[in-house]
Amino acid sequence: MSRPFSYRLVSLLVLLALTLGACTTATPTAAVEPTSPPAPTNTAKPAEPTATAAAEAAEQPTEPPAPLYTEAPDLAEKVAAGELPPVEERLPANPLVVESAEVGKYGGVWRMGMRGGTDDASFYRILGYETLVRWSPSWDTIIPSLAESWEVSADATEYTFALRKGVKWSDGVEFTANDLLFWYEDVIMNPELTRSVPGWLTSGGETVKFEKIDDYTIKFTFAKPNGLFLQNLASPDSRSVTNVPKHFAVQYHATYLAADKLAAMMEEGGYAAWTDMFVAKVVQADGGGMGPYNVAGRPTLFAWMVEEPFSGNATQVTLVRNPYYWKVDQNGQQYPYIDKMVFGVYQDVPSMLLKAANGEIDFQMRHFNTLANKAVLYDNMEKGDYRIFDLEQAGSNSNVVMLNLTHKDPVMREILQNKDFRVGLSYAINRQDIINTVYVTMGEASQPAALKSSVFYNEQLAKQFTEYDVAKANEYLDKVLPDKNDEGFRLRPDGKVFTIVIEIANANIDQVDTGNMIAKYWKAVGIMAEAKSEDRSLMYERKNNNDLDAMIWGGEGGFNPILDPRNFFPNGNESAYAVAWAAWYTNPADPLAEEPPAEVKAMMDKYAEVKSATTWDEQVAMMKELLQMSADYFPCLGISTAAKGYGIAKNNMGNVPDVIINSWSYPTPAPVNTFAFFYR
Amino acid sequence: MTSVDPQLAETLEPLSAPEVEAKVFVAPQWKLVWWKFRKHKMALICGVIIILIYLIALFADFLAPFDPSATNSNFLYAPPQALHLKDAQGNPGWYVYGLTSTVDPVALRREFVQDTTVDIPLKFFVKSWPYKFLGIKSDLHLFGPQDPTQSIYLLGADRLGRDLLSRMIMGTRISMSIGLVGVLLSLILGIFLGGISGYYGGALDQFIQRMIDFLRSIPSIPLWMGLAAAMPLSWSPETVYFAITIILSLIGWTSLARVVRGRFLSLREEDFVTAARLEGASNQRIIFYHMLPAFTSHIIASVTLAIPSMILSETSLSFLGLGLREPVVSWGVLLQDAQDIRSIATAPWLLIPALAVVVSVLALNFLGDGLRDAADPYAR
Amino acid sequence: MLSFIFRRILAMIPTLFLASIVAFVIIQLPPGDFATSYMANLAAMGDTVSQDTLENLREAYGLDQPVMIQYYKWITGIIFRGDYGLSFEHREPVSSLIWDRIWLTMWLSLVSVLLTWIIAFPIGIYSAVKQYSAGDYIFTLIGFIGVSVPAFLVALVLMYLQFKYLGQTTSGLFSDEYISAAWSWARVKDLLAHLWLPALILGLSGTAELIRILRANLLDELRRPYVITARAKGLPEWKAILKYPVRLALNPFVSTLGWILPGLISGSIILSQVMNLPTTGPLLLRSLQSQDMYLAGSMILVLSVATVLGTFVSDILLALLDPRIRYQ
Repeated sequence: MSRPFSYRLVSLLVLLALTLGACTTATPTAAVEPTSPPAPTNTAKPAEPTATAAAEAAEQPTEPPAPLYTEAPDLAEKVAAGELPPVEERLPANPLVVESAEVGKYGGVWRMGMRGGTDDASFYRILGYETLVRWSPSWDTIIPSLAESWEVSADATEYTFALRKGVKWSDGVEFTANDLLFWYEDVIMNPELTRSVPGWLTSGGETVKFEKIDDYTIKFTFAKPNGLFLQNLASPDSRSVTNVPKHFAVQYHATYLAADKLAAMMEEGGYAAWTDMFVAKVVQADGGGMGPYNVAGRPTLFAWMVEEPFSGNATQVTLVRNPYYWKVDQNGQQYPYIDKMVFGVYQDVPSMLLKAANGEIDFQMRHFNTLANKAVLYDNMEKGDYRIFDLEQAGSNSNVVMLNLTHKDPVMREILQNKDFRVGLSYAINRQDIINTVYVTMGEASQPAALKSSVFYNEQLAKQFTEYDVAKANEYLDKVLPDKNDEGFRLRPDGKVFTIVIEIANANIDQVDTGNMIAKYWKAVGIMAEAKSEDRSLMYERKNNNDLDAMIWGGEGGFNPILDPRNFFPNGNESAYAVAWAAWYTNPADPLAEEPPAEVKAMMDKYAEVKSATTWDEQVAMMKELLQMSADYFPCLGISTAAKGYGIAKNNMGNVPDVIINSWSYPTPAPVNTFAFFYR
Repeated sequence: MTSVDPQLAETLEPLSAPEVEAKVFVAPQWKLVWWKFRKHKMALICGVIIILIYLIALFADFLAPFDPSATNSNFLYAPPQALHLKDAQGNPGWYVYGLTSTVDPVALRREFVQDTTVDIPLKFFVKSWPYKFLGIKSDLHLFGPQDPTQSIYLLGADRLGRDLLSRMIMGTRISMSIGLVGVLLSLILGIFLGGISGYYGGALDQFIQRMIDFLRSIPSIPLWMGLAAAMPLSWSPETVYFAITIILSLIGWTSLARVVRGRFLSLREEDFVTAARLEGASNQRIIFYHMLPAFTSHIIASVTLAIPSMILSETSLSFLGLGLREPVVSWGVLLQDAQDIRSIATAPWLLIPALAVVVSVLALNFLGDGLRDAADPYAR
Repeated sequence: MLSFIFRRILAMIPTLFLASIVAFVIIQLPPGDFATSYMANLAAMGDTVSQDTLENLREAYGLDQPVMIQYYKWITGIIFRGDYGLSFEHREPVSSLIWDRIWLTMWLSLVSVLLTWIIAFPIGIYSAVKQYSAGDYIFTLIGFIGVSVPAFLVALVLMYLQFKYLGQTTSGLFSDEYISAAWSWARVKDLLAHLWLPALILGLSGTAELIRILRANLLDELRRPYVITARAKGLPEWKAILKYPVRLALNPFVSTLGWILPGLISGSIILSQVMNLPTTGPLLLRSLQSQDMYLAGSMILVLSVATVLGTFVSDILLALLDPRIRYQ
């Protein structure tokens, strides 16, 4: 097997030294210099072990930062008034030093907009990303965060983490292994709260085992090798792990409450089950939900803590600086720089867009930043005193056209499973015209594939069958459906007109427009196609029941297909082109499940190899093999690489990079260190 | 002031001449109505407008210079172009200036420059995009650029570079037909059920009123959402829309029925109704000849008020995924495209379809008023 | 009259019962359930949920039980405990979510109805009395623009113009400093300052409709012989118009008066959404889209009750307005 390696990043300075020495991009700095964008993709190498192995060698005594830490003026006042302990006592013994491109100054309010309902991502992406380990700003390595260092066993089954000593929750109570033990025993292993353990915490069908070795050391043990665990820990999957302050959570947990007290609390809150209350007030096992933002003053490890909480009726949510935040800048100033956050709760985009254009939103990259709205924001940049920064999309495609290979109708299924048919359909589409019309020339014709800038790039997967060639299209389609009716539409073997309905979520206007153009091109080669836009939920319901002919959705996994391989082989119910095979893959007992053909099974097996590979290089090599298999199989069609997105930031806001990678797995913009943003 | 209605007096005046009088006595009712209607200038004009609108709807393919669903990536959000009557050399004719565009990659849009050195000549009866009318294939159009490969946008273009004028012309079909069927259906149901409810009263009234209560409390949005899912995918967009319209009108009649019932409740106690009853008139005759005409104005008003909401219903229907699909367009769909800040800020011409709705509704309303006046029983 | 009222109240019970069942069944009409929409929501964000999690969610919320059992649980909770159930999406009791908003919605509706009346009555009467005058044509034109352009489009245009030329943005019903403030006189004033524009836009199409209806009915009445007789007998013109014709012309208006509130609550959904008003509309829409069953069901139930009560009130008013009306 691979050589054993260990992570022992005792202090950040070591890592800094490494950066200088090894010249990799593994710096935990706040943001790469604004002038040079964090070249998103040259070497997308999550969890590069060799670099960290080098860290060990580089370990040497270095000058610690100036021993004196400084704090925001409002906190200093409280310290003077005796309401807070001094900053040295609030910070851990070894606070995380995050070098910011520009040393900031304290002050200011950060205004943003969010949608009501399930928009917890608005909080999570800005301030909720405080995990054991995190992605480096350039998304090419994993860096320490609440865990100071870690060790992985040679077979990738045991992961041992050393926690940062003296980190405190926002109420001053220390964060220790006991909090994580509570998370494991009373949240993840509590069958009422967690009916099925999230997939990333299992391996070989068994749930990971958790051990508290001492107050600052924890260990995860998997039954089978799980080479992706660190990557999962650095991704939003893990967002519940460090989000359960035991001393707070016990107030809402049935195990720790007297029955009459619990009943009274449920009665008062109107909850039918205690789990509802726990999820509403503390956390949801999979990390989603508004739990962490629903209670004023809830203990947290985030840079800001809730002042006015979120509720179904809230019209704004405010957060203030966490006096116990455990990170400092290179000058020893405690983060965050900005005093306060105000999230306006909006019902809809237009009013949020006007607020942004009017300069009443300070930094944002969600909701109103559609491609169509860019012109409006561009025109008002001066008036609103903001600038536009770029989002490098990490998705694999703008539109993935997923033909249902496991269609319920056996005739349809046979036609759609025929690769020649899909090739013909692909040649029939004039991708450049779609790019020019729908995306104002932004993007490049492509099938769903790893991006050119990533190590996973596969030319065949990206470019095959993307040229517009009606003759070739007809040639391929004639192999499958040679007969046509009087109007020139192709007939199925049973004599009926072959008809295909492409379903599209009506919220994604660009995809609806694309779908209509695709239908037009397909009609031109005798395929009776119709684009139908509908509510997202309806489409998902139809997809889950395997009722679709075809659907369009954005592509994922362009940077890191290992984390999200849905477009390359049927790995879960997001692989809408083969719902039945995906069901078989996740749970063969599922009523929808159907055994896939050998070549698809081979990809599934290959992915198991990717997961059990222990080094990044091995994982990449295996994944590349899988992508080659996927290219040969050609499961779904794509249109173009995603046009780059954008966000807005006030002109006087510092430490905002000019380009940020946009992805959910790398919860943009959190990894570029939002706590270091400040007003000049 | 002796007459309530000056129009009425004016209408009656010429009839007082003896020879006309003789004619009047023998004239059938429709002729009387027509004579009076002719006097009503506004109604007459509006009648002509309505006929024109329906002619546009009928010959929409012929009138639309471009294929309404043809996209053009060079003219995304192209502004309206003005016609001028002389080219650079002073030759008479009708022309628009050339339009060139470049992509602004930061603002993510096309910037347009009018090239006044280029004149694109237009002419009548050009051959361009193909269509089928009454089963006959044709590619003849009323007007268009002499060179059919060129694009002109007299009312501007939408986000995909489609010609708004052509789309509005094609949209007339759906907007002025299917929606009106729904209005008509609610009208018939409303008058009939409201009428018998108010006229007979008692248990029948109770039953119909509770039915109205019940129908009114059915929430429309989930109903539509359910229907959106229930409509077979194989149905054409027009069929789906037609079905929805019918369902809408099955709920929509309740409002008119309430009003009709309210009026009937008070009218049935009136002397003229009692008189008619004592004369031995049938209930049917009392309802339709005596009671209904007493509030025709209201009926016309509520019908004309229902039309715009039917025309515009697609705006909310497509929001729920029930709307019309390409290539079928309607005014409501066009307005739906216009209802975002981007369009209002950078392409306000996309609001023009609202004008079409206003004009046709106004025309229908004045036409209705004129007809009512002409058929007024008190003027006889 | 009293016995009529009593019988009417009795008749309301089965109607409401039926309406509650239908409300509950209809919100289940769209395929899928909260679990599906939750999944679709997360997917739009880039997140994924496993089928297992969805099944668990269904089980936890009882979504896997037959509709009638779910209905029984819900309705008995309301009747016996005043418990409207839990909102799945917000994880909050439904009652804590809706009453605040209903209160604000009532305010908005009230202001809007008052504005509508103040504008519509004089114009409607003027238009009927001076039929086919220049003024009548102008009001007709404005009125039809009012009904022909969707209210939310008007709202969007006004919001944009306000931003473009005044550099202001309005959204919501309060200024920033009053959003979370306790109720005070200053806060009420702030509310009123924010309320008039949405109320006006909300009332726009209603105003136009009311003008048309009033004008039409008044025209019908003014043609009646009793008006001519009144004039012939030398009754002052204003009295000849106001005393009976206007009163009778109100009949159709009163017939549907009771539906104004429910109409504004459910009819202004998209407008409230666009103008970012914290009223019931957006909450209802959202709950329907996310299939947040108990929240949607309870709001629809409230609307149904308002509709049925409204009809009842308008029936009584109808009788008071016109003594000739008998209910047998």
